[in-house]
Amino acid sequence: MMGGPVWLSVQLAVVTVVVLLVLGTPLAWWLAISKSRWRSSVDAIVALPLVLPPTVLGFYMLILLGPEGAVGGPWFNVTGNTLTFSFTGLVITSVLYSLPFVVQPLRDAFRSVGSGPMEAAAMLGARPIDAFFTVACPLAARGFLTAIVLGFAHTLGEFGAVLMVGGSIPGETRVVAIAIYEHVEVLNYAAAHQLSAGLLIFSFIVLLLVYSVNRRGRGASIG
Amino acid sequence: MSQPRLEFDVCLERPGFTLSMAGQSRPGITAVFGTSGCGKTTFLRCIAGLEPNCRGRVRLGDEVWLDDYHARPAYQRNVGLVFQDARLFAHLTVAGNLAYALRRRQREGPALEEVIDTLGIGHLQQSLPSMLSGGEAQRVALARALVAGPSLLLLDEPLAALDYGRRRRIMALISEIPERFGISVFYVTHARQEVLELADHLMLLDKGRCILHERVDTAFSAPANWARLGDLDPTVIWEGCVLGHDAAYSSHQIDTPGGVLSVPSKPIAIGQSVRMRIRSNDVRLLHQVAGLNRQANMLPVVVVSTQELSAGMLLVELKTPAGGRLWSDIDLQAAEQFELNQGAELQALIRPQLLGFAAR
Repeated sequence: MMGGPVWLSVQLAVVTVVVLLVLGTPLAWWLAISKSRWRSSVDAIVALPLVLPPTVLGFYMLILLGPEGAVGGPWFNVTGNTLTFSFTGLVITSVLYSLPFVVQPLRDAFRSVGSGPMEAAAMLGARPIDAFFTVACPLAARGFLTAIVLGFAHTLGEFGAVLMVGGSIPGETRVVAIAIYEHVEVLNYAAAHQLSAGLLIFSFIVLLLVYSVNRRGRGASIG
Repeated sequence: MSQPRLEFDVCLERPGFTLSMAGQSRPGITAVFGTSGCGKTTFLRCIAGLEPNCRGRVRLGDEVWLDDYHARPAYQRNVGLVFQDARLFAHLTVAGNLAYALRRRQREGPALEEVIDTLGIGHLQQSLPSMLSGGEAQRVALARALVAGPSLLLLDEPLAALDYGRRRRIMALISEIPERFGISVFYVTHARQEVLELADHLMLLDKGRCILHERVDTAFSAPANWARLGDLDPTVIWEGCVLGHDAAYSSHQIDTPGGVLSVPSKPIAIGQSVRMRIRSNDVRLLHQVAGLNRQANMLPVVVVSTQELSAGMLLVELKTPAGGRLWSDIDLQAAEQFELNQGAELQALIRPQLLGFAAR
């Protein structure tokens, strides 16, 4: 019973981060190097989840993913399932909700790599896609680490948008944050304590790991 | 190995600046010389294919790199470019950086060991770029460019960040590249001394145009160029061939356009060509006196013309019997001892200064 929401949250966070890396990496690269006039608009859209109340995002997602919605309707016709109140719906919502936490560190890391190493790679005969994977990505490794950790942790801690889109279906959409809320509502403080403390310690350990890895990396580069 | 010829006629417009250059490469090292902002780096980037807005024509041998219809991307041009800031890949060791180039090589090129050996970087193989000094980083960058087997090598002020001693050591290595690896080199610099020591040819750039493209000795010896080469003292550059070696004085007899001169230096192979600089204050005028002891580097000369150099100083143009032109500066007071009319015969005592790396 206790393993349920925790396991579900971890699954959701892993799937969300993987999806975000696949979609967010090219987007971050484009944002880092593009001179297009659309760049500012895309930057602003990516940053929206940072400033929007989660309920606003959740509300629009509920409409979009619902059986009458632009995405949920076709999905229902093809699969026979609804996206709202489902794990898949949660993943789509989380991807949007955590987008800036993955894309922005990647974009900044790519930007600080700059065009120099890419030009150097081209002069050695590397095609752009080759240079991207063998030069830009390794040089942006720290950005990837930050993006993965922030994306993962942020998805774990998500509450408002998930509640709006997913509700609280055990094993399907009842993630840790919602389980805690419900424990508190029925005054089961012992269970709430257990989950909250677990989440607190886990988050602390993850952040500690990131900061010490970052510090060690920096120390080595000075030496 | 033959050095394929690069022909270019390129144009690039930017707000407030237009680059417009046409010409062709010559064998050996061509110095691309000029003040900051004259377009030297931009020219190299156009040749390398790193400037998407560059228009015109570029071809190397029978490969067309740029014309009205297509532009070959940088990664297919097979050009080596060494940047001012080395641009080694920070996540790879020196060996990793070299292997990166080797894996992507598209044709025959020099053996890895030969390049490592030439540039003396064997002991650095396992180092990360962050652990290298500026000179080491540039040597690795040069090695990486050579390992890629380029058919043309572009060097963009690779030594600008180094002190004089290191610069000379790396310049000596660079001077061997055209012959050893069979490629032409364009060498961007704003340091006149590097042009004199290193280059066979000079391209002088001004405001995005090439205003001079000549052999270095011809370019620096022509009075019309002194001002635009950066307030050069009246100078001639003579290229000569080593005739013999006098062990007692550690000196070499060198056959120059002006006659045979003797220059002290470390041993140089007989037959090797060397370059020397003779500034107007390296030439002292003496009277033709019967019984005067013949000294080394004393040549009979004929006065061609005189002109005022600056307040109180006269510049005398001279000709040697072999036909070499020389300049001597002399103050007006000293000049009164001589009859400096056209055709007057005098002796000139010359102190030539050896340039380049043949003997060092």
